[in-house]
Amino acid sequence: MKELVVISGKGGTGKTSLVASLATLAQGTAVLADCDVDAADLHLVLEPRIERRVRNHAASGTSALYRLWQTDG
Amino acid sequence: MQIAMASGKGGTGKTTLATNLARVAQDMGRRVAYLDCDVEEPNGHIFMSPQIIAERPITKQIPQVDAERCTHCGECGEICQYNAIISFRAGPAMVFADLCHACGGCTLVCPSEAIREQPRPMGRLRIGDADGVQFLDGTLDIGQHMGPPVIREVKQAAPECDLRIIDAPPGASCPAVEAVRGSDLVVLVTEPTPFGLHDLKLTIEMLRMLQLPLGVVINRAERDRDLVSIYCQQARVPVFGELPDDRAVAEAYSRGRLACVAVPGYRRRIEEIYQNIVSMVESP
Repeated sequence: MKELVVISGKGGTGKTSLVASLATLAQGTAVLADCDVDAADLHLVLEPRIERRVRNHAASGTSALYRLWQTDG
Repeated sequence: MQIAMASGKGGTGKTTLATNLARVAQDMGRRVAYLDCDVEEPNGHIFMSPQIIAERPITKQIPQVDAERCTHCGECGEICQYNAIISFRAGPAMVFADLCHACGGCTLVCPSEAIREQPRPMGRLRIGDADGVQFLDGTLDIGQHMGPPVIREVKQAAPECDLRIIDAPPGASCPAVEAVRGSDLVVLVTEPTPFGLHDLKLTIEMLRMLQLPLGVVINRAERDRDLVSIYCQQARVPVFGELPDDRAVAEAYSRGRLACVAVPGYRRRIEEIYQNIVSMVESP
């Protein structure tokens, strides 16, 4: 499996737009991970069907919400 | 008066509004300090072009364990909320400096005085003057990941003035919280897109938990009834003003110039936003 990471120092430069565009070109099985956990927006473009919600308990007692999803097509 | 510019989404115009407000308020006769607290990527200096007067490293106090004195009692590991110090039955306690929040708890609880604190550099603070505006910014060192201590130092170093403008980092987690803390008002800069609206809602939730008064400025506004202004009306969130989606503004930005200086009519809009902010802060 190949893993591509899209990052940027500055905000609002188009990370999510690029990832969503690449997703439409992906062949075979592709996994998209929105790791912008402060303000995750990829789901607004891809409109996935949410299959499961998992609460992650970090060691310090704080928690973050991760979503596992599948998009149609 | 302390006003913070914040936004869930990146690139909405926090720095644009913060720097233009600083310039305009200073031109109106206020004593202004501009604090760039976006310590991962501070850009305000590009627009403010400050003359840097002082610069110094920002450090955090990291525990150091004296192997001779450590009795392996485990008190230090017990109090640390971040697993930054761990005690084993054999050998002295181990410190993980990257996880340490420099609270000093382990040093206090150690019964055998085996812990001493050492400063460790984590960022830099710069103080300067930008045509009368007091300028401060903090930069997190490459490889460091904890913004809040650097943000705290920038805020502590700020001088007395009439108006303190905080340029906050994007997001709704620790660095953003640290930056907006203590503000009289938080201005949320957003854009009229589904992304702008989604992240605006997250930030409003965060600020309501902190019980901070807030209002919105819509940047790159195109038409009157966009989805953000409709939301703000329904949710009773005050809107201080709109900044137009104007090519001339983008061109000034791309050259690192303040739009209030380079684009006719822009200053007027910033002045209006400033007046709206002041009247909200001063209203009982």
